[in-house]
Formats: sequence, structure tokens, C-alpha cells
Amino acid sequence: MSYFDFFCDIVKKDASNNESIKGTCYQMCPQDETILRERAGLVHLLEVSGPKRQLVKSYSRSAADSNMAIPRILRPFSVLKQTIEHLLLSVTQRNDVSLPCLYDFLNDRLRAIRQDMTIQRLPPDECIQLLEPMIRFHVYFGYRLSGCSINEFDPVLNKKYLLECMKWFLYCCDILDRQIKSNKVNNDLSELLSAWSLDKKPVQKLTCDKILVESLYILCNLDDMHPLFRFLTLQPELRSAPLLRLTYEIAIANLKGNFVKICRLSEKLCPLTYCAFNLYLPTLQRKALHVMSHGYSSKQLTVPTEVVQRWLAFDSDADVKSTCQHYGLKANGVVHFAKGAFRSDVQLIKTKTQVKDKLNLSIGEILSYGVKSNC
Amino acid sequence: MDLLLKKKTYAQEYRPEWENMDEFKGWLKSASGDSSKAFCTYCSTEILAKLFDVKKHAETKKHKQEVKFKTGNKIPFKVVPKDHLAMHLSCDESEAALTLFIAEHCSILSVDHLGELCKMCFKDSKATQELKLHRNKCTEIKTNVLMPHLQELLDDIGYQKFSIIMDESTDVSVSKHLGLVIRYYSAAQERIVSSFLELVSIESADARGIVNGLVSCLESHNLDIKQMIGIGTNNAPVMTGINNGVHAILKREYGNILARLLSLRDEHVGNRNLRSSDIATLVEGNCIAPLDEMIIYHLLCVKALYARDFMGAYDNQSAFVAAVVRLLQGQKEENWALPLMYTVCLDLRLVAQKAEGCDPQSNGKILEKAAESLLACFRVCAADNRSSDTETKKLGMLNLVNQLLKVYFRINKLHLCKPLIRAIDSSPFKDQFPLAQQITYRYFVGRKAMFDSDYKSADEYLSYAFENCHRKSNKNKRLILTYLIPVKMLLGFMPSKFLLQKYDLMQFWDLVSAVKDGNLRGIDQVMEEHESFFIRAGIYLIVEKLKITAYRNLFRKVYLLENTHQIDIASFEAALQIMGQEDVDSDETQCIVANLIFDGKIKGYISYQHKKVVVSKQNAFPPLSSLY
Repeated sequence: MSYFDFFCDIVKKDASNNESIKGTCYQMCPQDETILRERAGLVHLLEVSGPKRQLVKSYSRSAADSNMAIPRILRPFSVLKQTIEHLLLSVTQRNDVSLPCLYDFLNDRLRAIRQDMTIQRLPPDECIQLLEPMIRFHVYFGYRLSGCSINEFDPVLNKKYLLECMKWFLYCCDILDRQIKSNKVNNDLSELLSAWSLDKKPVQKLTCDKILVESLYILCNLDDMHPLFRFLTLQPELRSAPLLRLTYEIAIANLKGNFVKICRLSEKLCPLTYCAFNLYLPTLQRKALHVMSHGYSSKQLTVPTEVVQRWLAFDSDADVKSTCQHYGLKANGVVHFAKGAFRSDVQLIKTKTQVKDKLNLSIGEILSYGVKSNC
Repeated sequence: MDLLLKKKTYAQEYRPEWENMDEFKGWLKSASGDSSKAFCTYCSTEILAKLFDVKKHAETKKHKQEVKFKTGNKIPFKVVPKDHLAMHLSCDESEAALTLFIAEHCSILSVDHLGELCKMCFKDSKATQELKLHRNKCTEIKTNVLMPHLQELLDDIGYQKFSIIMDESTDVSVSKHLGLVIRYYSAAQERIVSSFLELVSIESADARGIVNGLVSCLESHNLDIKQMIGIGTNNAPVMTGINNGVHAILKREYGNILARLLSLRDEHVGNRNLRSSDIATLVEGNCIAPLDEMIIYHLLCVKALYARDFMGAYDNQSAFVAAVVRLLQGQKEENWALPLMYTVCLDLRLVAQKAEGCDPQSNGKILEKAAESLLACFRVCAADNRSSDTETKKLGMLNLVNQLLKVYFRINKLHLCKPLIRAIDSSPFKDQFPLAQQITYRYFVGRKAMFDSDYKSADEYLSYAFENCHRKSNKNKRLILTYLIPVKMLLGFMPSKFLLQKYDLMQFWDLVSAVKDGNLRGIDQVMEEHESFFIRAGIYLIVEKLKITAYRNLFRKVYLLENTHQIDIASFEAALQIMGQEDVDSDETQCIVANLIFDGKIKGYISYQHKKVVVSKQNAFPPLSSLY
């Protein structure tokens, strides 16, 4: 059972018994674990900075004989928040380790945070504050590491965690919406949240942005109709938010297979949504090349590579050439499209690793920017 | 010797006083001609007229038997002169016979003449000559002598349990008859009585006809079918056939009756007496074990509903369902309780919906809980592997699945439908379920397929539902069409205006004409106008997809207009812009055309260099309906 299902169960049961365990561990890492890991030499490189050590509770699978629900080893919301800030704002600044290594460490520690959240049954308004940065983290690193080999980074697992966080987040939002509606209190959710992100301190802070998550939910599942069904049931004021509107248009264009429009629209996306879209790009390119190999199928006629590059958001001529050849199409300055030549049995081509500087933003900015300024 | 001789013999004579003693009363007499002897009239024997000997005779086995025999049925007869009695009896008999004849065959007036006629014709019969029968007497005989027999019988049965023995006659003539014998315990006679009940003429001698005849006969005599505890029949297939024999039908109806009695939608719910404050004591002792619990929950639920406490009603109804689950679990090799389960589950869903509506906070939680109760029923049914095909509870699966699908669609948890659909599709009884249930099932599965963008199977399921739906249930047909029309349109079949008018679905008409004309702006307008309808029905995105069809129609018009098989991309682009797609440019137009070619909607290819689309000389735009 995923966390999400478990969480839903808890919310269901909540009405009957409101008892939940409150954590009493006021450090990022419980005392027991600190002692154990220091003795066993299990302190991660990223938990040491100079002379200082800052251990963070690591994830451990819940097994039949281990009791996880001990207040002593659970961190309350305030500590969890502190932990996530520490992880995403300071640990990510380290550049003495490789990116996959950094990802592994953060992924593990964030998972432990989710575990603590689940066991303590945190209320939805606290959950969303913790989940939103995690979603950003998974989207961004999914993009950055997409070119790595499977030994270093598993995109499927990353997607799984991402979906788990997103569904959980959206579920919490729905509950909050309903509570607000039924309480007839006039404080809109966005207002509630903007109080959080409107901190104008020079120090970077984590934010909580519902529109961004809704957009990411659509863009991460472009081949699925269900996020669109969800979009259609959202409140009108949310639906008319520019970023969300844009992602919806992209999804609709995708529904109709209009790849030119998709790529054109994608240029307006904000950095994180662009990351999410970029992960879908190889699939889109392959589909589009397939369509074009039928539409422009001819023995004599050709299409210039720069046109294909422009239409399908390729990086360079060389990129177009290698991709076309990968799918069995002849390409040398011009692309020869032919119905029969397209090979649909070959594997999907991977995203290029050299995309790193398209975004031109530091990790800190990625994890904390608000949508309105960018769109 | 001396001693013996010495004993004096004493001759006792008969004394008439003995006859008045209690023990000898009725049978002791003096023997005629011998004063030393007495006579027993019962045994017809002589006894020595000594008190000791008489007493001893009274003790003998033979005498006792005689006494029993003689005194046992002593009927006090009125003394009637012998010949007079005989004549009267035969006269009464013939009068009764004639009355019966009249009752069966003709109007009562003819008896006036019939009596006279008999007198004239049968002059030698004494009984006939005594006959006095006109219409008044005939009526009196009928109502006072013949009728009471049946009424006595029915009074005697009262409201107790009875059994029926029956057999049908199928003779060569057209009319068929069902002979019914009733068997019951007669309180008046203190024994079990079997008596002829009626000879019912039935429409047909098949099981359904026999059941109808039996039921209507019992109804006309005010006998309650629920009190019937047994039936005796021969072993003919029509009676004992396992699928549709009389036994099977009666068993099923029994479940139906029970279901009706425990339904929240039956008239009895309106009875104020059922809303007593102390339901438990009302039920206690009046009902047998598994039922009493259910009746208590049922009544508590009714009470809660009257108090408008829907949450309480839901709790009771769900406890009721749990009790039914236990009942079903306990029943091996029988499934007559399925109708009860259907009713209870449907009621549960309705109550849950009501409770849901009254509590804005719950957000589907009550319905979700209801779905869990329904799943408990489903598990019992699905796990019934050992029963024979006709007795298995698996036959109840589809009804439950339909209920569950309704709940899941309502709370928008479509992913939960999958295992249910798989369970039904893999069931060997797939095609044996009642048609109505199959229609409901396909309606939901079709909708599910539509949400999953599997339009081909959506079309299949929804078409089946539409074609088999009862012709009078317009509301259901309209519901099916709401989904079937967009799916059909995607597959290239446009609905007629008549159909849309007939089912009040004119929302689609503007859409149909816009798609036909390739009017993209028109589609946008329709989508805006009916946005909430399309979104609620979940067909908004399908309508969006219909734009592809509109592109095809628009381009076809351009092609017909240009009348050449080499068309400028610019013409297409201009057409798109005119029809409402203002932001479109050459690249995008080519992309749209490429997609249409890829889908086979246009036959041809694009030349990038010449900015032209070259279409096939024949059948450049094949009909959409031929593509799928």
C-alpha cells in the first residue's frame, strides 16, 4: 500500500477516532538513531560539514516486528519543516558530491519525513506545506538526472514518489477546500497560503503553490485523461490562473496531436513545469516523427532539418539527425520521411544530458520561486 | 367327603335391583325362563345370576371391548318412520343435485321449469314426485347448505399453516385444469384433514400458468401463501424442474415476498403502528431466529427515517445488511434469499445517498462505507463455488456489481470498478444474468470505457444497452444516449435531429451541425454554452476531440471547392482562420493535416517545399465511419 492509500484510510477513520500519535523528538534525528549510526559508522558524507555534524533521520522500512509508532522517534510538524528546509536549502548547496549521490541522500531523508507524517496523521494544511517542496524536488531532479544511467538514477521510481506526493497534496487541497466551503469562512486557500510565501526576507524560504502543483500534475501525466477530468472540476478562479490555463492548452493540443502548438506553448512555461514537460518531450518527438513520416511520406520530397528542429523543440541540427536516424529515417541536412521506414519497435531515445543550463536558475531558486512572478 | 357334603348349596335368584346399579346399567337383563341366570345384552351370553359372577363378567376382555364398541359412537337419532325418511332423503339429495347443476351451468330462473320437467318425465320415481324446487328454494339451498361447506373449511383453516397437493390435467380439449387439495390441521376435529379445495381452470399447463392458478386461487380464498409450508406434486418436470419448475418459481417468489416485506419502499412503511417506541419487545417472541434481528433493524431504520435522522437510518440499514450477509453465509446450496439481498442493498444505497445529501462534510464517506457493506455481500456471493448452477449465489453478483458501480460513479472512484468488471467478465454466468441487470452493467462499463478513451468498446457496450433497453423507459434511453452520441460522433456517425428531439438532447444538435460544417467557432460556442452539462457528463474532452472531425470536414469542403488534388496549405490555413482558429499559421496547419493523414482521414501527402497537400485522386476523404 502506498502512503497515499494509507493516508486516505486514515482520513476516513479520522471521524471515528481522533487519536493520533504526537511526536516528541525535537531533533532532526532521534537520539537512538544518532547513537546507533555514529557507532556503526553510518553517517552520510552530506551529514557532515566541516567539524559540524547534522544527522537527519533516515528511512527504514516498516517491518512486522518493528514498532514505528513511538513518540520518541517521531518528529512533530515544526521539526519536520525545519528538516525539510535544512535538506532542500542548505544541503543542496553542497557541490562536493555528485548529483546522483545528492539525490539518493535527499530522496531517502524526504521519504523518512513522509513516513513520520503518515504515522502522526498530520492535518492536511500541514501536509501540503511539507509536500510541495518535495514535489519540486522530484520534478527538478527527475529532469536533471534524466540522462543518467539506470544504475545512478531510476526515473520510474522517481515518478512513483512524485505521483505519490502530488496525489497526497491534491487530496489535502480538496479536503481544505471543502472545509473552507462548509465552514463558510471567507479565507480562501490561496490567501491562507500566500501568507506563507509572501515572506520578503533575503533568505530563501520554501513556498507552497497550489497552482504549480495542479499544473505539474497535468504535465507529468500528459498521456492520461484523468488529470484533465480533475482540471475541469476545479473552481473557475483556479482554472483561469495563467499557468494552469497554459498547461491545459498544452494538454488539449496533445490530445489532438498538434505537436507544433505544444512546442510553441511550452516556451512560455515556468522553470519547473518546463522540467516536467521536458521529460515528456522524447515521447512527443517520437510520436510527431511517426505522424510526419506518414504526412510527408515521399520518395523525392524532403523537409529541412531546421524546420523539424523548430517544430519539435530539438536542441540542434545534430540532435535532429541522431534522433531521426535512431527511428530509421534518413537525415542529412534534410529529413527524408517515408511511411515504411519509421521504426516503432526501437526504444525511446533518452533526454540529452547537456540541457543543464537551459534553466539558468540555482537549486535554491528552483525550490522556492513563486509562480506569479514567472508567468 | 363329609365335609364337602356338609357345605350347603345356596341358590341365588336374579334380582332386578341389579339393573340399576351403575356398573351393570344398560346391559344386564334377566334371562328369559330361568331365574337362576342373568343375560348380557352386549355379549349375548347368559351368566349365573350371582353378583360375584356378574361382576366377573363385567371384567372380562370380551365384555369390555363390546362396551367400548357399543357406547363409543352413540348418536342420538331422532326417530323417524323408516320409509318416510328414505323418501325424504332421496328427495333432498335430488334437490341438492339439481341446485348444483344450476349453479354450475345455467341461470337460476330455469330451475322453475326444470323441477316441473323432472316431475313430468320421471313419474315412477317417488322422490321426483315429492320434488318442490323453485328459484327461491334453490337460492336458499345454495347459500345455506352448499356454500357453508367451503366456508366451514376455510374458517377451520383460519390463519394456520397448510400444505397443498396438486396436479394438472392436460386433456385434448382446450381447457386445462388444476386440482388442488388442501391439507391442514383442523382444530375442530383435532386431526390433520385433507380436503378438496378447488378445481381451477388455468390458462396454460406450464409452470408459470400453474403458479398463477395456485396463487390466484389462494388469494380468492383469502389464504396466505406465506403460510403454505409444503406442496405435494408428481415428479413431472413442469413441477420439479430445477430452473423453471413450479417448485423453483414458488421458492423464488417466497424470497420476493420476504424482500417486499422488509423493503423501505413498500407500503407497510407508512403504518404508524410500526413506529412503536419499543420495537425490540414488539418483535421478541413473534419471529424466529435469524429474522427477528433483521426485522428489528428494519423497523429501527423506518423509525429513524421518520425522525429524519438519516445517519441513524444508515447505521441500522447497514447492520441489516450485515445480518443478511450472515444469513446468506449460513445457507448452503440455496439462493432464494437473493431477492432479499437485492432489496436490502438497494435500500442501503438509497439511504446512504440521502444521508450523504444531508451532510455536506462527509464527501462520499458514507457512500464509501456503504460500498464496503455491499462488497461484503459480493464476497459471499462470489465465493459460493460449491453449489449447483441453479442454486448458486453467484447469480446475485451482477446486481451487486451494478449497485457498486453506481456508488463508485457517484463518488468518482472509477479506479475501483476494474476488479468488479473483471469478476463479471470472467464469470461463467455472464450471459445468464437477467437482461435488465445486463443493460445497467453495460451502461456503466461503457461509460468507464469512454473515460479511459477506449471508444470502440464504449460504443459496443452502450449500443447494446441502448438497443436492449425497454422501449418505454425513455429516461434511461436518454441517459445512455448522452454518452452514446458523442462516442458515435467520434466514430463518424452523426445523430439525426429527430432522435435528438425525441430524447430531448438538443444540446447536441448545434454541436452536430457545427462539426458537420467544420465550424470551429461554433464548436467553441456550444462548448461554452453547455459547459456545465458537458463537464458533468464527463464528455467535455470528447467534444474537444470532435474538433479533429471538424477539421476533416472543413478541409474536405476546401478540397471540393478548389476542385483539384493539389491544394495550397495557405487555403487550408485561411479556412481555419475564417472558421475561428485565428492564431493558426502555416506550420500548425501542416501539423493538423499531417495528423489527419496519419489517422487515414485524408489520403495523400504534404510537400513542404511547395507548401501543398497532394491528395489521392479517388476517395481522398474516405467516410469516417469506414475508418473504425
